[in-house]
Amino acid sequence: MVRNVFVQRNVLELYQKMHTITYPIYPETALPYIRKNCRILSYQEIAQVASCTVEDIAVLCKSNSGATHLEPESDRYLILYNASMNAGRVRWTIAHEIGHICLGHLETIEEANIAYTEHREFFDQFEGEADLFAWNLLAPLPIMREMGIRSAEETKVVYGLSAQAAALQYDRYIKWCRSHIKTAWENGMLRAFREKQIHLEEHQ
Amino acid sequence: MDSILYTRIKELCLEAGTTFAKLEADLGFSRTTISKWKGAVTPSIDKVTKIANYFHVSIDYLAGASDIRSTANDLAGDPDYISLQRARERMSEQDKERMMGILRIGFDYAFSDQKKDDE
Repeated sequence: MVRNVFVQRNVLELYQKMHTITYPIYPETALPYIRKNCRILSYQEIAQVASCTVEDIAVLCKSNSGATHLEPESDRYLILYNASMNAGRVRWTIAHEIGHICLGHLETIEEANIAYTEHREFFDQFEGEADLFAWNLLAPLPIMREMGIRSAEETKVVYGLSAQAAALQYDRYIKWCRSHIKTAWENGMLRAFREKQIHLEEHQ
Repeated sequence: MDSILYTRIKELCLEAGTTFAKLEADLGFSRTTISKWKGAVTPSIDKVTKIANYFHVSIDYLAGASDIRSTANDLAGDPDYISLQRARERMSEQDKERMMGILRIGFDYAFSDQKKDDE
């Protein structure tokens, strides 16, 4: 089961720590604010350095978009992402992978020696939580309302999401506006949003 | 009643979205080989090993001697890197070694600034 409150609390902590927030958020700018030692490389960079193909890296990650690796001995994390995707998908992928790190998913796997074949539900839960983390980091619903977002297109432009992700999030936003109950998390996010120097990139 | 071996192969095929025909073709078995195991026919250990490797489960699991699918090797995990993906579970030892080598280079490269700081 996806731990909504746990995920939201982690996003809120990150928002509170970040000195400034610029939309669209470049998730890599959040790295200095997380407690883990983490670096990001594209598939293309690592392929070049390791003299192999981008396809090799996709096999290594078993993903065409991205994956996170932990070196337990040194407690270092390496996020790999495929730079051939559009900017929105790259942003989303990196935010998702940072989610895995912030939420301690890889450490859980290490401690429990969880094998995918035996514990698929864990992995499904982790994927769901990293997705939720990414949505909340890149385009939090309370902040969408605060900013008066009025369309999927606006969601796409302001938060730098892919067209598909923006359509999904805007749909979620509409439903949330109809039926949500204000929570402490929402108040916290709004406070963080109002206190920070929020910048909006100029969109052409 | 179907044999446990037959039932487990059927379950694994369903989960993997594959069919007996595809599995038999992939492993070079003649068509209907697996169906024959539904009853009392005992397959050769070679064939069972091939199926176990194909689905990356233990032979004990296929034969019904254990309910744990993974081999001991899987459960021990990888001592060098933990990754939130499952690619290596299906890799040969050679491929796995190569991939771990790539990852090691990636880590060294990505954290090269830190090494300099440490020195």
